[in-house]
Amino acid sequence: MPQWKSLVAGAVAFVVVVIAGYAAVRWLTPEPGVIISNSVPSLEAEWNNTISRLGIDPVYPPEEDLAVGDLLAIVVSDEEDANETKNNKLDKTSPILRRSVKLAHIDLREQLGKAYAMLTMFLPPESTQPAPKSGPAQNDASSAHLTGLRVFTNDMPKSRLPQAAFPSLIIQADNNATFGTSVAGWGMAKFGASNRGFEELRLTDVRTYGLPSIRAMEALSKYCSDEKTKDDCLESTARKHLERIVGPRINNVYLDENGVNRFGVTIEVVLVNRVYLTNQILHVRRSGTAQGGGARAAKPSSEQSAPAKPPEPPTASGVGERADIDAVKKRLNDVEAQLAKTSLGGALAFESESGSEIVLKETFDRPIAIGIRTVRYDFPKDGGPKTAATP
Amino acid sequence: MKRIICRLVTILILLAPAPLAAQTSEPRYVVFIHTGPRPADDPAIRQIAGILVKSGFVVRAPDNDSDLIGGPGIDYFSDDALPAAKRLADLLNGLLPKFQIEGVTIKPLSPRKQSVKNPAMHLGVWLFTAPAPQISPPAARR
Repeated sequence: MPQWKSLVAGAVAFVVVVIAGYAAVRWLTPEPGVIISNSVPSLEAEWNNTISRLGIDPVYPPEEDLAVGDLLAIVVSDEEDANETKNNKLDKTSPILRRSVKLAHIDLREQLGKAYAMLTMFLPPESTQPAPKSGPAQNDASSAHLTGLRVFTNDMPKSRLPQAAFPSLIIQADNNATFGTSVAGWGMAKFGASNRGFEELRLTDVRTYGLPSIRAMEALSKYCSDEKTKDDCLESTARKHLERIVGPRINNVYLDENGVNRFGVTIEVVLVNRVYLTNQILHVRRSGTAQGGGARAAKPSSEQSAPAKPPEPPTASGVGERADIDAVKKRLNDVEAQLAKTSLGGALAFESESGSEIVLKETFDRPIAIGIRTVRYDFPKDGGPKTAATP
Repeated sequence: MKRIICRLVTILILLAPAPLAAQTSEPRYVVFIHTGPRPADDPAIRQIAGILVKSGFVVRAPDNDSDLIGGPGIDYFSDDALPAAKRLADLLNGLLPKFQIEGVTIKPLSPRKQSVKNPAMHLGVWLFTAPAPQISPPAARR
C-alpha cells in the first residue's frame, strides 16, 4: 500500500511539473507579433526616441508637406488627470503630426538665401569645370548650380542642400525556451519554442536646410507683431485649431496647488526653422516562430532502464534567425526518437512553424521631411510684451 | 513525497507573474467647484482649492454658479464615489469656517447622490447658499 501511495504521489508530481513546464515555455515565448508590439517598442516609438535624442523633432510617418517657415500649433504636454482621458494622452513623445496643426506659412526664402550666401560650399570635382557660355535666358537656379550658390527657388536641385548623416534603426527581439523532465524511464515530457522579431528602418541621402535660430526668431516676432497676422500667434487661435485633433478637453482649465489656473493640455506656437529630408526609405519587418513538444508514459524496457538524458540548454543565437528555429526542431526530433523506443505506453508529439517577411523599399520623386527643428513663440502674459524664444 | 509536492507548488506560485491590478495607480476624483454668489476668482476659495489639490483631488477651475434648488452640498454620481464625497465634505467643512469669506452664510456640506448622468469620478461642490432672488419694486406711476 505505501508503494501505491508513493507511485500516485510521483505521478501527481510529474503531471504538475509537466503542466508548469509547458506553461513556462509558453509564457517565455510569446508570439513574434506580441514581442514586437509589447516587449519591444514600436517602430514609431523607437523612431521618435532615436531622432529626439539628436535634438530633432521627429516626423513620423514622413511627409512632404512640411517646410521651413511653417507656423505650427503643437501640444507639448498633457497633464490632464481625468481618468477618461488617460489612454488618449499626448506629449512630446507623440508623433508630431498627431499633435500639431499647421496654422500658416511665413515666406522665408529671402532670409534663407541670405543666410546660405554667407556660407562656403565645397563642390565635387565635376562641378568646378568652367561654366559653359549661355544666353541671358539662363535662370538663377541653374547658374547657381554651376557656381555652387544655393538659391531657394522652386527649381533648386536637392543636391545643393547640405548633407546629413542619419543612423539606421534596427529593432530585434529573440527568445527561445526549452523544458524537459523524466521520471526514471516511466515517463518523460519535453517542450520547446523559439521566436524572433526583426524590424529595420534605413534612410539614405538625408539632406537638411534651415535658418539660424536668431534669424528665425526675428522672423517669427515680426510676423506675430504685424497687425495683419498677429492673431495667428494667439493661444486662443492655436487652441481653437487644435480642438479638431485633441477634442474639447484642449480648453479644460485646472487649478494647481497654489490655486492658479493651468490648462490641462500645454501648447506652443512654433516656427519650423530647419527641416531634415530624404528621398529613400527602406523598411524591413521579419518574424518567425517554431514550437513543438512531446510526452510519453510507458513501462521502462530493459534497454531503457537508465534515466533519460536531461534536455540540452538552448543554443546561443547569432548565426541567423533560422538557427534558433532549426535548433528547436532538432531537439524535438530527439524527443521523437526516444518516443519511438517506447515498449508499452502512450506518446504524444506536436510541432508547428510559421514566419512572415515584409520588405518596403520606397523611393520618392521629391524629398520628404523626416524631422524638424523649431523656435517657439512665447504667448504674451497679462498684456506684456510679446517675445519669442527657442524651446 | 508530499513535502516535495508542496515545495513544488510553492515554487510555482512564487514564480507566477504579479497580478496586473497591483500595478495600476489609484484613480483620482475630479472636483468641480461652484462659488456663487462669490466670484470664481475669490482668493480665499482659490486657497481652499489649492489645499484640495494637495489632498489628492484634481480640481477644475471654479465657476460662479449657484444651486438655486438644492443649495450647498456635494454632488456625487456613483455609489462608489460616496467615500470620496464624504472625505471631500469633511475636508471642506473643516476649511470653510477658517477662511473669512464675506457676504455668504457657511453651512455644513453633505454628500448627495444625483441621478444626472455624469462620469463616476466627477464630484460637484456647491459652496454657498444662493442669494435670495431680488424682486424689483414696481415702477412708480406718474
